[in-house]
Amino acid sequence: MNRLFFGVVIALLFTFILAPTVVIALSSFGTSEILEFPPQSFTLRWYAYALARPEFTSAAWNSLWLAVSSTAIATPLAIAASLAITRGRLPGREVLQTILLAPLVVPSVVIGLAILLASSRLGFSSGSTRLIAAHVLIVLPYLVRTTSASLVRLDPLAEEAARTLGANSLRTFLHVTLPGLAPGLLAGMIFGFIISFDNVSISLFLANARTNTLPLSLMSYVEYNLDPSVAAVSTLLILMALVVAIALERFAGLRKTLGA
Amino acid sequence: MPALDIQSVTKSYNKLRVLDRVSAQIDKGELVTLLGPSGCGKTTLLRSIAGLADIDEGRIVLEGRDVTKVPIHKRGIAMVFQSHALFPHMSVADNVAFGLKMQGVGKAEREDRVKRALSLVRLDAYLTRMPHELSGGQQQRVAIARAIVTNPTALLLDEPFGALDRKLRETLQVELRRLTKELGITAIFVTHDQEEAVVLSDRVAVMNAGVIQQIAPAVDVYENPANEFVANFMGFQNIFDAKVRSAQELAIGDTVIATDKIDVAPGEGIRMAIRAERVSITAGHREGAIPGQVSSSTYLGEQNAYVVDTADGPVTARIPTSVARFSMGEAVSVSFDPAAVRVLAS
Ligand SMILES: Nc1ncnc2c1ncn2[C@@H]1O[C@H](COP(=O)(O)OP(=O)(O)OP(=O)(O)O)[C@@H](O)[C@H]1O
Ligand SMILES: [Mg+2]
Repeated sequence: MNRLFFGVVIALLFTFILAPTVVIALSSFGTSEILEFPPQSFTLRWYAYALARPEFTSAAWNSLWLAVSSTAIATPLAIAASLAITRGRLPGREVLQTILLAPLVVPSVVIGLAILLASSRLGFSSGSTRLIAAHVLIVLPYLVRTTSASLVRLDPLAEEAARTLGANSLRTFLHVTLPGLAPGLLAGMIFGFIISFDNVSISLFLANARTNTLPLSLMSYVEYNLDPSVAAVSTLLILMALVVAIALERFAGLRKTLGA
Repeated sequence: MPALDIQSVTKSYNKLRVLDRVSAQIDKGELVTLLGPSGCGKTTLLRSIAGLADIDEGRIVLEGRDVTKVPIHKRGIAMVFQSHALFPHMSVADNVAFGLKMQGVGKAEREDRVKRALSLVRLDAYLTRMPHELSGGQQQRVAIARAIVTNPTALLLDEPFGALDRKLRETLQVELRRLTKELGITAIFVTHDQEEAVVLSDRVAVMNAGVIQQIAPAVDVYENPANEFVANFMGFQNIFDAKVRSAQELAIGDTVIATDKIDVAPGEGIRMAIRAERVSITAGHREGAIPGQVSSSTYLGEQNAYVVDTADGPVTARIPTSVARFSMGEAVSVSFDPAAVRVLAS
C-alpha cells in the first residue's frame, strides 16, 4: 500500500517535470501554422524553417560564443579562487567565499540591473565585453563550488609528496593538483556553460541588437508568432542539455572509478 | 662526515616553540627512529628537514651541502607520510615512476627501475592497479617504493605504519629495515611506539617538547635512559627519589640498597629508575629490601604484575609465575637487582 502510494507520487512528479518537454517536442513536429497539441500530422519543416532564420542562427552563435568565452574566462579564475579558499591561509577567506558564491543567491535581475547601471556610470558600455563580464560573474559560483568540492577531497599531502619527489610547484600543479580537481572543474564548466547559454534575466539588460542571445530572440519571437519553429528550437536545446547531462553522468561515474 | 647533519634547528608556530635547538648527526645508511609523545614536534622536524616547513634558526646539511635554503624539490629528500599520500588518479606504476619522470629519467630505464622498486616491496604484480584498489598495507608499500625508487639522499618516514594492524606492522618493519640496509639509505623513521623503535633502528632519538632528550643505540636508550623523561617513556615503571650513600650504595627512605658504580658524589639526592622485571619480591622482612604490602596483583600469563605499597611509594614488580606467587595484603619486601638500578640525570 505504502509502496503503491510512493510509486504513484513519483510517477506524478515525473509527469509534472517531463510533460511540458514532451508536449514541446511533439508540437515541434506539427504541420499546423499555429502551435497545436497533439499535432494532427507530422513534418520536419519547422526545423528547416528555424535553422534558416538568421535571427535564430545568429543568436545561437552569439549564445554559444558567450557561453564558451565566459566559461573559459571563469575557469582559471575559479581554479585560483578555489585554491585560495581551500588551501591558502588567506585571512578572510570565508568572506571571499561568500562573495564569490553571492551571485547564486542574489536575484539575477538585480545583478543585470546593477551591472547595467555601474557600467554606464563608468562609461564602459561596449556591448559584448560587458555581457561577457556579467556572464563570467554568474558562471563563476558554479565553477568555484564544484572545483572546491574536488579540491577539498584532494589530500594536500599528495602535493607535498610530489614536491619531495622533485616536482617544482608548476609541475606539482599540472601533474597532481589539476588532475585531482578535474572532475569538479569539468562538471562546473558544463554547469557554467548551460547557465550562461540559458540566461535571460541578465542578458535582457545588457545585450543589444548585435549581441542578442538565443533565449532573448526566442522570447521576442513568441511575442508576435506562435508557430512551431519556437518549439523546434526548444527541442534542439533540450537535446543539447540532454547530451550534456549524459556527459555529466559519465563524469560522476568516472569520479567513482578514480576512487575520489 | 654525517650524511645528514641537523644543526640547532629551531621552529615556532605562533610563538609556540615546536623545535628547540634540535641537533643530530646521522651517518650514511643509518636508520634512526624518532620517538616521542604526540605533539612533541616529530612531524615538524621531518617537514623541516624535507623543506616542507621553513625553520626559524639552524641549518640542515645534507652530505656536506647546506640545504637550509634549497627548495623542496631540489633537496633529494623523499618522504613517506602517515596517510600514504599516493596520487589517486595514477596507477601504482605511474605513482612510483613519478619521481623518476621529474628527474628526467628515460622511459625504458624508468620502467625497469619501477619494476625493481615494486619487487623490493613485493608488489610487482600490482603495476596497473589504482591506489584505491589496494589494501592499506599495500598502499603504504607503494608509498615506500615511490620514495626509494629515486635513490633519495635521505628517506623520511612519518609513522608510515600507524594505521595498520600489529601483524602487518611487524612484517613491514622487517621489510623496511631490510630495504634500507640493502640500498644503504639514510633514513629517519618517526613513531610513537617504543617497541617499533627498538626493533627497527640503529639508533633511537627520544624527543619531548621540541627537544631531543637522548639519541643513542636502541639498547642504550632502553637500558640506560639519559633522564627521567626517557626512562618513563621507555617503560621504566619504578622511579624514586634516593640519596647517594657511597659509590655503590643508595638510600631509599630508610633502606640502603646496593648498586653498580655510581658517578655522583655521596650525600647528593638523585632520581633512580628500575624496570619492573628487575625487581624481586620475598615474603616477610629482609635486610637491604624495602618492606611493604602487596596491594594489587595482575595475571599476565607468563608473569604476574604486583604492586607493593611501601613507605616510599608503590613499587611495581613482574615475577614469573613459575618462580613465586603472593597474595593480596601479604607482608613482603622488595629488592632491586644492583646491576639494573639506573641513576637519572636531572
Ligand atoms: N601548521 C601548524 N600550525 C600551528 N601549529 C602547528 C602546526 N603544525 C604543528 N603545530 C604544532 O606543533 C606541535 C608539534 O606538532 P607535530 O605535528 O610536529 O607533532 P608530532 O610529534 O608529529 O605529533 P603526533 O605524534 O601526534 O603526530 C604541536 O603542538 C602542534 O599543535
Ligand atoms: Mg606527527
